[in-house]
Amino acid sequence: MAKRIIYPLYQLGNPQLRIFRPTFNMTLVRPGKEQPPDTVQFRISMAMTKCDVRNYLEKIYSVPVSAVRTRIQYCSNKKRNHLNQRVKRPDYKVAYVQLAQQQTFQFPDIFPEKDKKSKEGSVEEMHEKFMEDERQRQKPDPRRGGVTEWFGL
Amino acid sequence: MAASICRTLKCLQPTSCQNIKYGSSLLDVRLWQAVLRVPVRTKRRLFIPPSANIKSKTQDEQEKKARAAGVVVRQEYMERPINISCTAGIYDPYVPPEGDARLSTLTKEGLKQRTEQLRQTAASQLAIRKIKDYDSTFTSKEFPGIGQQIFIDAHAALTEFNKEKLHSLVTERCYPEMVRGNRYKTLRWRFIESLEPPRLVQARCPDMISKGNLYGQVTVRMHSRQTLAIYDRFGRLMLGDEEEPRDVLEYLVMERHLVNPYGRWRLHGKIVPAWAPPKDPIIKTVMIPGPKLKSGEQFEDLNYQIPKPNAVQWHK
Repeated sequence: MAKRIIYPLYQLGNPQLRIFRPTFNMTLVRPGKEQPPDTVQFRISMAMTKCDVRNYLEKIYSVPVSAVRTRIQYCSNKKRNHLNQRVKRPDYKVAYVQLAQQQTFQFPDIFPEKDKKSKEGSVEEMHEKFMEDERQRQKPDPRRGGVTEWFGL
Repeated sequence: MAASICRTLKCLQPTSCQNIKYGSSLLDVRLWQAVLRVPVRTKRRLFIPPSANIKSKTQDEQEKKARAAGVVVRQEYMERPINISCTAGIYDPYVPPEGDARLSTLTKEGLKQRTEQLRQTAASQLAIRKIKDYDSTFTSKEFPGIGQQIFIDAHAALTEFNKEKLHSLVTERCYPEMVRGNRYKTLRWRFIESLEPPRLVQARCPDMISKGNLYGQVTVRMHSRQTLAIYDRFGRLMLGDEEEPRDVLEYLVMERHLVNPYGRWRLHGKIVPAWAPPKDPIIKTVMIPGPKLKSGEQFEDLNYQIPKPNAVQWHK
C-alpha cells in the first residue's frame, strides 16, 4: 500500500492546504459563428451549471467573469452500428462566458499560413511577373471590340 | 404566341391606360415594347440540374465533388514546353526619344536627342560586333532594309494568312501577337512608301539557359506610310480605311538565334513608346463594362469616371 498524503485536521482559522478540483472539464473551442471579442465559448460537461462555470474560471484560473450562458446542443441520431441499430451521439453543453473588466480573448493562430509570395529579385518572382504580364496581354480591350492590336495605325 | 402576348399585355395593364384591348395589333404591341422592356418567360424550371451551377464553383470544389462521386483522377505531370528558337521578350527595350520624327535635328531639342542617342550606342556597338562574329553578312547599314522587307513580307503573309510563310518570317513569340483577334475578319494592309530610310537604333545580345546560347535582337526604326482596313465577318468595315494612307512610326525588333547556323532574322515584336498617339476608335459601338447597379440606384448618381490607362512604353 502506497503511502497517502495525510493532511492535518482543518480547524477554523487554519490555512487551507488542500486544493479541491472538480471532476468536470471545460474545453475551450473555436466559435462556429462570430462572437463578440469579450465572449469565449466552451464545451462543458452536462452536469455543470452556470455557477460551476463561474466558480471554475474565477477560483482556479482567476479569470474575471461577467455573465455565463449555457445551452444544450443536440447531437445526431442517424449513425448506425454493425447491427443496423440507431446509435445516438451524446449531447453536450455549450457555455458562453462573457469576460469582465474590459478583457478580450482571441484564438491564437498556432499554424499560420505560409506566405506564398516569393522573395524580391528571385527567379520565381520574375517568372510570376512575366506570367501575369502575359495573362494581361491576352485579355482583349473592351473598347476595341476584339480588333487586333498589332498594327500601329 | 397568343398566351405570351396575353401575358405581356397583362404585365402592361397597370402602367398603361385601360383602353388597350386584347385584340391589339402587333404594331401596337411592338410600340409598347419599345417603351417598356418587359421580359417574357415561357417556361418554369421545376428542377434545376446541379450541373447548371457548375460554372460558379471553383476548381477545388469540383475536385471535391468528383472525389465524393468516386471519380479517381490519376496524377498528371504538367510539363511545359521550352522553346529555344527565340526568346520570350525584348531584352533591354529601346526607349524612343520623345518627339521622334517630329523634331528636326537642326533645332535645340533635336540636337539634345542626338547627344542622348550617342550615349546609348556603346552597348549596341558591342552587340553589333558580336553579331558580326556569327553572322558575316550582317551590316548596320544594309540590315534595316532587310528588316523592312521582312516586315512587308510578314504583313503580306498575314493578310493572305499564309501560315507556313508567316512562321518562317516571324518568331514564335510574335506569331500569336499578330494573329490574335483576326479570326473571322478580313485584313487589307498595304505598304505605300517609306518616308525616311529605316535606321538601326539598338542591338542587344541576350543569352538564354547557358552562357554561350546567344540571340541577337536588333531594333529598327521605320517611318512609313501604310493603309489598313479591317472588315468583320459580314464584310462591314470595322477599322481604318482602305484608300487613306497613314503615317506610321514603328520600332521593329528583329531576332535571330546566333549560334544556330541555319538561323535567320525574323520579326520578334514592336516597341510602342509612351508618347505614341492614341489609335482611332473602331466604327461600331461597344459597351464598356462598369460598376454593377444596386436596385433603385441611378447610374447618373454614381458620377462614374471611365478609368484611363497610363501612358507607358510597352512592346507587342
